Amino acid sequence: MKQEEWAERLNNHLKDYQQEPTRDLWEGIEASLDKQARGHAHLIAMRRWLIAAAIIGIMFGSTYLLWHHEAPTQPQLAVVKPSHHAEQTDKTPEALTAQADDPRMIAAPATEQHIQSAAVEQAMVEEATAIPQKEEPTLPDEKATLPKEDTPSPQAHRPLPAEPKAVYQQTERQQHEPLRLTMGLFAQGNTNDMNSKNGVMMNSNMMLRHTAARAYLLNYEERESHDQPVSFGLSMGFKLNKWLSVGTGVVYTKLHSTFTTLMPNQQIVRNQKLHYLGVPLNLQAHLLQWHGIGLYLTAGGQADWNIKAEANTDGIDQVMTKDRLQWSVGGSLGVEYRVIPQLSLYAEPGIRHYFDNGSDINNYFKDKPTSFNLQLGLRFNFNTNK
Amino acid sequence: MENEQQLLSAIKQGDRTAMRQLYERYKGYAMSIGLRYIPELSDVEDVVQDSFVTILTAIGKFDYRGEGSLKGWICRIVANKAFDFVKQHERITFVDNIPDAPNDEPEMEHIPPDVLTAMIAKLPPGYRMILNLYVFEHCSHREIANKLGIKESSSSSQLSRARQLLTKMMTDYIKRHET
Repeated sequence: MKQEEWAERLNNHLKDYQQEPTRDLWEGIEASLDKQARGHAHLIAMRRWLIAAAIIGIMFGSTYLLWHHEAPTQPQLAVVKPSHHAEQTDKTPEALTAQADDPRMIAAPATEQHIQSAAVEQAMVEEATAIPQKEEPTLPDEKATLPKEDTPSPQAHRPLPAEPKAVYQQTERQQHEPLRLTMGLFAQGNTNDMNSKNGVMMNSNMMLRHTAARAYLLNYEERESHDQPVSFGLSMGFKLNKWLSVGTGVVYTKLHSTFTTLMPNQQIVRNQKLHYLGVPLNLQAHLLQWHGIGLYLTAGGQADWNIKAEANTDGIDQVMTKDRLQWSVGGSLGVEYRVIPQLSLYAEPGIRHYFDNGSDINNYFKDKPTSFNLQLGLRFNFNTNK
Repeated sequence: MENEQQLLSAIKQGDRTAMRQLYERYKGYAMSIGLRYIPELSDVEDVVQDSFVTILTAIGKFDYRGEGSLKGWICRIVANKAFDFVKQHERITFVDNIPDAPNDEPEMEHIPPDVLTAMIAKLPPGYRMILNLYVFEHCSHREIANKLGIKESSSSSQLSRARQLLTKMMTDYIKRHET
């Protein structure tokens, strides 16, 4: 008897068999359903809290960035501060404000708020230094406590009306100095077809092997659909010289695939979610820098570790083994726009090739080993020379 | 409620009586599936209970495709749960000393279904899984190979061995009950 025929007979013999449980299971089922309902309500409440926390986090983050955006003007005011000490201890805050308003004293445009804060800080400096003045009457020369005009120390430096230009030049130099360290947040999506479906007729080989094909094997079909990968990451860059920099970071990638098995009057849908954590290593060549817009080329490799694998058949979670380590290489052309000295927006259209890792798990990387992608992100620039 | 569609509609509205009715209607089938995979009755009952919790939780996602589709879906969930249970609690093993297959195939229809189910449950875990997946879940050898982490050719050859083992058990049973 052929294997297929034997299997069919066995299946038919047992298909209507029923066995009563020895105990009533319904009580336990009902108790679990009640528990799950309570847990679901708790989860909804938790999600609301998480959304609220995320909004607060974004608000704080934005405030932090704005504050840092204004920060470079403050050191210039700080340079000015000590200079008032000796000669202007009797000046009112208004007078100080008026002085601070003098464009010769402040290189970069400052807001009224900055000037006021400078005045307040000035007053604090005056208070702090007032006591030592009284305690040091025996100093041989009061001028000795004052910085000399050619002293390089910024704390003790007193800008003269003729000096603002020099201060301005120093600030300019600081802002346009090559940045040594960058950090970035980005999101990445592939630009291939939205639905890459593969229709695979599974019964052709089996039909050749077995003459007595079972009914379910006729019109048996498997379909695969792989959604575009979505990645989020944190990257860091180190400038090697004016033209080259190396970058690394951490990238999270999520892959979602749907496998549909079609049989007469039956359809089994299996959803597969794979979560990867990757570490890229890239070399970046800066081609052009013009009015805050930069153009660069990036090339490098990436290793992705499958940190979690989920499978769900018809709404039921199943155990799934993790994928093997996934290696890839890629290149991209990047355009960067510096919104503020510390923050840039960038877009990197590129191409990436994923090597076959030899695992049995089908995913987007195997279906489309070479694909185009677009990375959009924010880049934070830190000047390590500060 | 006479048909699956009415039952399904009531369950989706949160009707606990309809849920109980679903359980009562299909618990026997669920138990018979579990008993083919898991040798211990108490373990089977735990798996069936867990399966119905999952079924009633996920029933909102079920796409009704005509009378019998709900039963098919329930049976698949129970089979998947039982498969996972065996995978987690037993080592998937195959044995080398397979008895020679009798020349004549026994008339399996002469063996009561509960006895035949118990025979399947007595097979070594690897054979039991392959036989269940191939005969009752209609999985291809490729799918079985993926699920068990074995080669596709191994799935085919081990199925033949599972059949040999089961045939020997059936032949012995028939011999015992003929005399």
